[in-house]
Amino acid sequence: VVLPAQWRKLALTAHVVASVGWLGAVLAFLALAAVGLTSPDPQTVRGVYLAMEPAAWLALVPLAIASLVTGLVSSLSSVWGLFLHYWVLFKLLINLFATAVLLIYTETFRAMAAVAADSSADLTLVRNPSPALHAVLALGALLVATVLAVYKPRGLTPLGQRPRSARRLSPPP
Amino acid sequence: MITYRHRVSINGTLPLEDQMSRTSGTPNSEGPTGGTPTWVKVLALIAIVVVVAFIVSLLAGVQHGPALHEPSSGTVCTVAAA
Repeated sequence: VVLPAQWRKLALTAHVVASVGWLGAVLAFLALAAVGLTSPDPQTVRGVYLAMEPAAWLALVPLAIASLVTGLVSSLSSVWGLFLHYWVLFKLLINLFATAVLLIYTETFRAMAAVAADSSADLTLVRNPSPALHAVLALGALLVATVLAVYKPRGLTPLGQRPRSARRLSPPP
Repeated sequence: MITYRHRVSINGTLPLEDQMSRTSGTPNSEGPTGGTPTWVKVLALIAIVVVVAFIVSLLAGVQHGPALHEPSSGTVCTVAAA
């Protein structure tokens, strides 16, 4: 799919904004998780885990999906392609994996919010290292994706190594 | 076999056309025709280790998911009942 240059730049800008925004949102979640683990104030701790669920739906999930969609548009509308270069392929896999884990993890946010909302639940039950662990792992994965996007390390996939004419002639899978 | 390593000049820098291609954000028309780059193998190995570690932890009985974060049956949870 060939898009005009201005549309490609718009898609790329949207992809950068969404991806970097996702990274920042994960960093904010890591800070929240640290507060939840270390704060001596019970209300603050409960508030942290209560806020995580809506914040995830309002920030993390939209940014993750926006990053995925704009990334697909950017790659498919440019000469890089989606499956031709390893760095693009790895970014796609990282994005898909992180988005899938995030969508599954929203259930965990819901469960943690339910515990935090229960005033009879002990604070040790409310405190949970899981968000911090997941935020660190997500941060690592998204940093790898960012480094790949900036450095664009060399390497063509087997599909990318085939001559362009052969790729055009080959039947769709 | 031609690899990128052969395209690096003596002082360790990429040829000018490669540098220009990289800074302009467009792929070079001359792609590698050799094997899989080392960085791809490293990242693939890390991904495999993560997946295997996750599967092993599941097989070992380590709980994952929201059930792990819910209070045990002995704990009173008024929100869940509401």
